[in-house]
Amino acid sequence: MNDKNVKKQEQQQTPKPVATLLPDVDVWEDAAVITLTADLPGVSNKGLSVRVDNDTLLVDGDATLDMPEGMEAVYAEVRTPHFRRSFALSRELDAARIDAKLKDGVLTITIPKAETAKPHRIEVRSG
Amino acid sequence: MRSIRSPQIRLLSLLKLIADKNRSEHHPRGRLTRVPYVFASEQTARFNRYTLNVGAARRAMAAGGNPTDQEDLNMFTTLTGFPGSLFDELDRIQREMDGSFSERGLPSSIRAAAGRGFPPLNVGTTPEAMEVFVFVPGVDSSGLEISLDKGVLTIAGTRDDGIPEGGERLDVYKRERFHGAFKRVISLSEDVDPAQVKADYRDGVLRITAPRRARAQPQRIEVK
Repeated sequence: MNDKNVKKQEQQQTPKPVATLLPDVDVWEDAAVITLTADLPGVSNKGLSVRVDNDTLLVDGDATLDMPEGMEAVYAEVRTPHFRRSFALSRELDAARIDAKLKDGVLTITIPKAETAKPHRIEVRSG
Repeated sequence: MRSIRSPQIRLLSLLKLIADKNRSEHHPRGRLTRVPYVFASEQTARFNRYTLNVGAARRAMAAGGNPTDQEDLNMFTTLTGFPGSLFDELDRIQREMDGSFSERGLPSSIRAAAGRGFPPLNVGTTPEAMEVFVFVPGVDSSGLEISLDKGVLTIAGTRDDGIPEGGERLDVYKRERFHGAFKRVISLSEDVDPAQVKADYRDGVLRITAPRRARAQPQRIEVK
């Protein structure tokens, strides 16, 4: 595969430019899993998509607010309802066992490490 | 607000990035100790793909095998991608710039905090009521304190980010989400009725509806 092909492929994958917000995230790791939490206020299960594609984890969320009819905006700090952020996963992670949970606008994703990648002690034999 | 992004602003962003370099709160990598498992932004991955793919393909061809550039890519992302990459940083600055420029559009509140206050909020108005949308995900709704006094609305609470405290082998790569106590104050119009205020918390958005007093609602005046 040459550079040109890669570029072409990526252009096809790139979605239409829409103003999106980069959600705030926390990422931490312990011996068994990597945990990622993201703030997605106003996003319900229906408006959320979490995908793993080619070792890229993509979080896409559309917030819905129930606004009364005829409401006029006076002041706005959140100006688009689209959230999007992506992460490159590394090979040691078990992408097949990713778990995602959404509660009160906070998405929690846990990505277990592959068994072989978990830290283990290596016995040193004497003699 | 994307339309106002010009090369000058990009340049400004870069300059600001340099100026910001020593501010540790924006530089998680300042505390970075290890990089075996890494999240990098999509942009970083792409950058790596462009620059490193030639070598990967060449090696694969030399080995006579199928070019499995994906594997090589993983390795390089692991080595070169790091939390808080340059692109993330630019994005953050762009966001701040957007924030400061956007104030030219709509009048900003006198109590608006510099930068990004938590929680962000939007205010709307209808003839009957004022509507405040507070983007405050991940809090216990019973822990939110909302008060309205002489048209001044106060929203206060505490948020825990859920990161376990210093467990064994715990590494924190990103800590962007707000944690701790917060308080935001905005003034609504004087004519809202404190007794009628309703608050509803759903999907991390707190919606406060403050109806106007009946006699303050717009009325049609007949011309005789």
